[in-house]
Amino acid sequence: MIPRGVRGAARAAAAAAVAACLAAGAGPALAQGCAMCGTAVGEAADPLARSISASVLFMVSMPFVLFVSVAGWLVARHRSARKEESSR
Amino acid sequence: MDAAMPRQAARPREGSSPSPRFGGGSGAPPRPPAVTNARVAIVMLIAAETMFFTGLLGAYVVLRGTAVAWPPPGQPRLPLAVTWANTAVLALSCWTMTRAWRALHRKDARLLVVSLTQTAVLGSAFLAVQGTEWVRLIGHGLTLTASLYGATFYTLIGVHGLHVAAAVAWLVAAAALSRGSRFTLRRAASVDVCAIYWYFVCGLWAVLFPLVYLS
Repeated sequence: MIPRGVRGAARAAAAAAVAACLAAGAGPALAQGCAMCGTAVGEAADPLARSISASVLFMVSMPFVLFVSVAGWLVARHRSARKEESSR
Repeated sequence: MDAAMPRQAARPREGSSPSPRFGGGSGAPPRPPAVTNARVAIVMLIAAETMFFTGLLGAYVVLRGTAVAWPPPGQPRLPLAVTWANTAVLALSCWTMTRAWRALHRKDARLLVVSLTQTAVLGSAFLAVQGTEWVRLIGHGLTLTASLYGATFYTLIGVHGLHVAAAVAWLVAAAALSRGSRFTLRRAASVDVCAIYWYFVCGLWAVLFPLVYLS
């Protein structure tokens, strides 16, 4: 009999594989972006297209910047606290 | 609740040392947390504020990028010399805030109150200069409804001004709390988070000033 933990891990791996296959197949559809933006923007050289792209990149990057900054700060604080404790 | 607890667990047998697995400890003082609750709270607030300003800046980038002329014809240019001076005032307030933070760690109550008051005065000066600047701009025809240029300017700089005003009020409260010779943990936490918020407000200006005034 397969242990429960192994069965759960196998199921998670299978779900991840299916999701990866679906994402790979949907590549062209995802590359279009949202339908409204695709209709409104038109060509990549258009100032509106460039502005929207810059704005979207800026807004998308900010949560990642925040997450990495806060996580880095927490890790640094915990490491320094552990170092202080071990030096006592 | 006591009735539900097993008696043996609540009162260890005499002569036996309490096991650390079941709490109670060995009598050593509890170690301070690596990150205080107040700091976690202020970091969460700052993260939310950052996302709010990210949305505003995202809209600004689109509106600015699609405008034919910026500023539009007939609209005044933003005053640079006064704003540079105002930026210097805000930078100076960062220095006084750092002095207050150092005074907090050295437990120098007098220097702490003086430095917090100086920071609050510098923040108020920043707001006063910005207020007079706005009155002049409105006199020259740059209003919130005149153009997208005016709308984005007043929204971005106005929201930042509101944050500075809130931070100044917080500084005044922190200075009032810090009066007196005794330092308590709660007082120290209030100054600590106030300093972090002030640095955030100053850092935000370092982004807004080049983007709105210089570019």
